[in-house]
Amino acid sequence: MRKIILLTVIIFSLNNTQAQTLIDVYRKGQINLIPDSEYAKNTDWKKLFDDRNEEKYGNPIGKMKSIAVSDNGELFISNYSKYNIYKFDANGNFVSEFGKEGSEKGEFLYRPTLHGILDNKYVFASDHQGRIQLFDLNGNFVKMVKIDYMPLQIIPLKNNKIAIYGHVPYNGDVKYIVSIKDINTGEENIVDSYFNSLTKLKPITIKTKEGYMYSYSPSGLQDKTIIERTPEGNLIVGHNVQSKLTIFNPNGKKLNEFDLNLAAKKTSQEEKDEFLNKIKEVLKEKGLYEQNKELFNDPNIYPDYFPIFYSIKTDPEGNILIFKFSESKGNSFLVYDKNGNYICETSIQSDNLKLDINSRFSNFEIHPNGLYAFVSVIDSETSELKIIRTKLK
Amino acid sequence: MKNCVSKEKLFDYYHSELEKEEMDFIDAHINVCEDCKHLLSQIESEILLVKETINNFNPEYIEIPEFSLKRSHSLNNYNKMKILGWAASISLLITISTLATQKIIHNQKPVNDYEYFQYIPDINDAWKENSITVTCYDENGNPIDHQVIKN
Repeated sequence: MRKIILLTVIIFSLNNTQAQTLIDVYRKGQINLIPDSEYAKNTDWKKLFDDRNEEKYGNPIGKMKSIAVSDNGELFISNYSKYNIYKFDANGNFVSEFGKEGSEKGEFLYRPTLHGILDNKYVFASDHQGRIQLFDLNGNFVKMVKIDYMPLQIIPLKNNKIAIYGHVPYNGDVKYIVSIKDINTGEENIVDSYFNSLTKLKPITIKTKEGYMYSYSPSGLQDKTIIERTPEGNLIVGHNVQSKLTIFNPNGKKLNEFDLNLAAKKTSQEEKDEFLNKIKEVLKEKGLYEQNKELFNDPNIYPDYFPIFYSIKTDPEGNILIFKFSESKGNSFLVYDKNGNYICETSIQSDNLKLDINSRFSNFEIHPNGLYAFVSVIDSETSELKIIRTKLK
Repeated sequence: MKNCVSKEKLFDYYHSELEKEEMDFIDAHINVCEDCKHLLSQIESEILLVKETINNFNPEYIEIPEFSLKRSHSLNNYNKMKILGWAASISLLITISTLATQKIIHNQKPVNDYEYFQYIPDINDAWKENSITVTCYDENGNPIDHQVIKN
């Protein structure tokens, strides 16, 4: 009898564990970045990320890295400064590196960004000139796919299809497109496009007598398109100044469109003045203010509204995470289910780890094994960088 | 500017072909000299353009026309035809090379390291700090420096 009761309790508790969903995790209101101590416990991050302090033209290129995780937990990370990609096994042990600077097959003429893993077969990366290189999961070069415009973001979909957000000069304007490309046939299907901008925002542009041009704009407030993949391999397209998301299947057919019901926050006069005064100060120091002061009367040099969000992520259960601007500590995001129903708000927090989120490099991924993140240690004197895995359930 | 480095030296510096002492000197100099820093970035762009051109230019596209020689042509006529043929070939080669180069430059110029200079590590942090992105472009419109001013 005791055995039956014990067995019942065990089965009940197992069922309870399995029943916990990621939405249950999000509803707790906070995800703490606590590294799984078993993951990468013997990995020498200082040696692997010896480029951590490397900078070029003011950019911290040693920190410009993207990660992607395969179905069985192998992790890949691109090193912008080193022109290569590292591979780690499912336990976080370093396995190999592949790719290098060069113009041969499998080499990068320009610095690479990793975009993900396609069909759990190909890890792929590109440079900013549109050379997309595919490798198998052992790092062997498979093929190169070229596009004739500049990619701003690329993601894997499924069945050899990738989605690209990019732009191209077009009769004096800039045309932005979202396209789905078949890497085998080369066939490309544009699902969204617009010219120049979705808003009237433009930078303050100053020309010097030596011929140089300086452009000043509020960081991160430009309108842009963000693309993301659902676990089924569909494409999510969102414009950060619009409160809606559109879902396309890999063939480019529009499947759904839903409203996030988010209102853009109005910018204040104080915020605008702070921005303008800072630039005036800089220009006065350079002796460039007087001849350019009329530029400050242009109403389109600072936005009337902030963008609604700055990043979109999905999780393995199909929930859509919308990262919104927030004054609070950590990375706040809103959770929507796969049909666009609002669930809750939560955030990613840590006392000693910093997770940077931008639309250029993908620093974290929510995977059935947990949350993988490329982070920096805040209190480290050596500005240590590492990859962690946090259990979510 | 005093102590400025010649373009030739900067070219060698870019390829790490100088003695350590000279490399160190130029390292230190370009950190404080905007002119030399600018010149170095120009050299880098030029080298990348050349690499790009070499990488993209496919000599298989250049067709050398065949000449149908008739027995009745005198040797002089044949030589004239040969010279004219080579001249035509060279003209064709130059035209194709020029067009190919123009196409590559046209493709390359608007996107030259553009994205490289728009990097903001954490967008929410930048928003919280009301920071300002400054990009400096050269006379050809190529970005050469990038900076984020925090308030």
